Amino acid sequence: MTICVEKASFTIKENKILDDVSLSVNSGELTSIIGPNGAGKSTLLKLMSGDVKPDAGKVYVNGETIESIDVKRLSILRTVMSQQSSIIFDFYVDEILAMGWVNGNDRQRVDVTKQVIEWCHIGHLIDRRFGTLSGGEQRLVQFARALLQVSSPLGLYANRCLLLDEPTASLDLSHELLVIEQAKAMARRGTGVMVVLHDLNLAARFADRIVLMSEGSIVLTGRPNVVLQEDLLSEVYGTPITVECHKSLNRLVVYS
Amino acid sequence: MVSASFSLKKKFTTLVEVKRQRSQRLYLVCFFLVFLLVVFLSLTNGAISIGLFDFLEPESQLQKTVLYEIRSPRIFLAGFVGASLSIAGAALQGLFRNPLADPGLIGVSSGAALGAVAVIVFGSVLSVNESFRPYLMPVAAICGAIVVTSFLYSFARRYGEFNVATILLLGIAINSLATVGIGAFQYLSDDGELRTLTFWMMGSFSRSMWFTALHTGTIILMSCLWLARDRRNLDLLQLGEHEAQHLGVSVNHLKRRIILCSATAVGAGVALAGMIGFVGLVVPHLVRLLGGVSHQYVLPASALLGASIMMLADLVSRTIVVPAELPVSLVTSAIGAPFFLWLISRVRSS
Repeated sequence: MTICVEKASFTIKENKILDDVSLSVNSGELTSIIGPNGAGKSTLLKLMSGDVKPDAGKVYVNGETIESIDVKRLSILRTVMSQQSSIIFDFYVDEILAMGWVNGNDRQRVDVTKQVIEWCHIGHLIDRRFGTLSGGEQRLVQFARALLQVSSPLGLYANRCLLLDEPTASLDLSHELLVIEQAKAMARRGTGVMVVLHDLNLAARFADRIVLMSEGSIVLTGRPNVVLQEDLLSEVYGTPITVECHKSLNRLVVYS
Repeated sequence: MVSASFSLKKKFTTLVEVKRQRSQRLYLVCFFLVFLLVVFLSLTNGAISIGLFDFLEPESQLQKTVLYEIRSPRIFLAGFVGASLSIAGAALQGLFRNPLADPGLIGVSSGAALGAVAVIVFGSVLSVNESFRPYLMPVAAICGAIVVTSFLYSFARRYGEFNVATILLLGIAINSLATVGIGAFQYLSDDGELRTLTFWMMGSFSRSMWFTALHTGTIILMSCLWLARDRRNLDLLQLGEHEAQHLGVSVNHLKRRIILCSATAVGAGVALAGMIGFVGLVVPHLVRLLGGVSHQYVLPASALLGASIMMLADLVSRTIVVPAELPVSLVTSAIGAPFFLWLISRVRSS
């Protein structure tokens, strides 16, 4: 299962947000999109989720154009966790989770919900009102809802995509790791995972593939050690950036 | 250790859900009992009081006529209009994702009123088939309501999401516009029409008849049932429009359905009973405060509680100054306006 963006451009009021971008989400792979603010990362993700239509180019899901797929079927094929969301009415956390269950029966839903609660360590939040949670806890619950959606119907992880727009924003260190590890686990189950990340270290550590974007186009795509080059990053981000292989951690670390 | 804590959480999840559903069901049963009680009270009390169980076998011809020809259709209509305003209120609040959306406050009712008033004043001039004439007013009212709701929605789309204040300001603007229209019609109307108009503007069930009440009841019932089909979609919409779309809701169709159904329900009620404020605001809120916010529960509970409150308000309006009558809108506003103030302070502080 793949979502494929082919030569897509997107313009808002004569500002080119995306310019001739081609990219695909591959099954079983965690792809991370990185780049400075305004590089078009979120717009690319919106294109893949079907929120916006490209001005030129096409988006394919499993070979079919995304517009030709009915919303209900699309909800089973791809799951999206957006950047911002506010909820006016005070739902309980477990009601929010249940909203993620798009396909399959109630018995399975209870099983998967338990599983997801365990994965995300949110057992203590489950009987609280969503509005009373902190920003980070709300993100975590939204992430859990996305996991529930990608798991319904029960256990069919392959042939689906999980698109996450800065899932680690406003989370503390340990929850940041928790979220990205769960996303990685989803990829290992066969789901195609696409994550927009600001933290280059998280991308270096967990991504199978990194997509570096700048000013609406893709600069470079490849394995972390290919994309994360000091001079390239320094130029794209406009600030000196150092990349080192940390001896005792045995992985790339990035700092500025 | 890990498995122990897991199994604890395991029970917890299902328990939370089961507990809430049980309490919601309990509230629904309570609302239903209240509803029955109010029906009973409304039947037995009035200008001519009827003994506790006499309504099954009325003693005199007078009681019989009062009960079956005057009081019953009136209670029937009050119940349906109360339910329609409350369900429409709940659905519009869900659609606009704004707790202060009420058919009266945001101008849907006055749009309907404008349509209906136009028919009162100009109806005699229009050349329509005699058999269609009784339906002219409801149709005009429904059209008025639909126009206002669609306008509000397209406005919201164009200028981003409504915050709490914007929607009220828009409501003021639309209500003033409608008042201008209604005032102009009043100026154009003759004496007889003017009396009908004023009386009708204040909201009243006193002219209920079975013929019209049954028709209106059917329209309201159908549109409310249609709205109830979207209960899960309305829940999902609360996550945000894009999020709902991601979860498989065809959001544009959903919006169109909600606008059409709630405007139809409100318009049909307004055509017969005039403008009645605050019911659509107060009832869904009480319901949410008591049992939770999921529409699966909010919609039926609002219908039951809304019907009860409207029948009760009507009972007060027709018994408090016997033999005269208060406009029912006076009663609902007397209760609703302070509640509204409290609500604003609550929304502001959160």
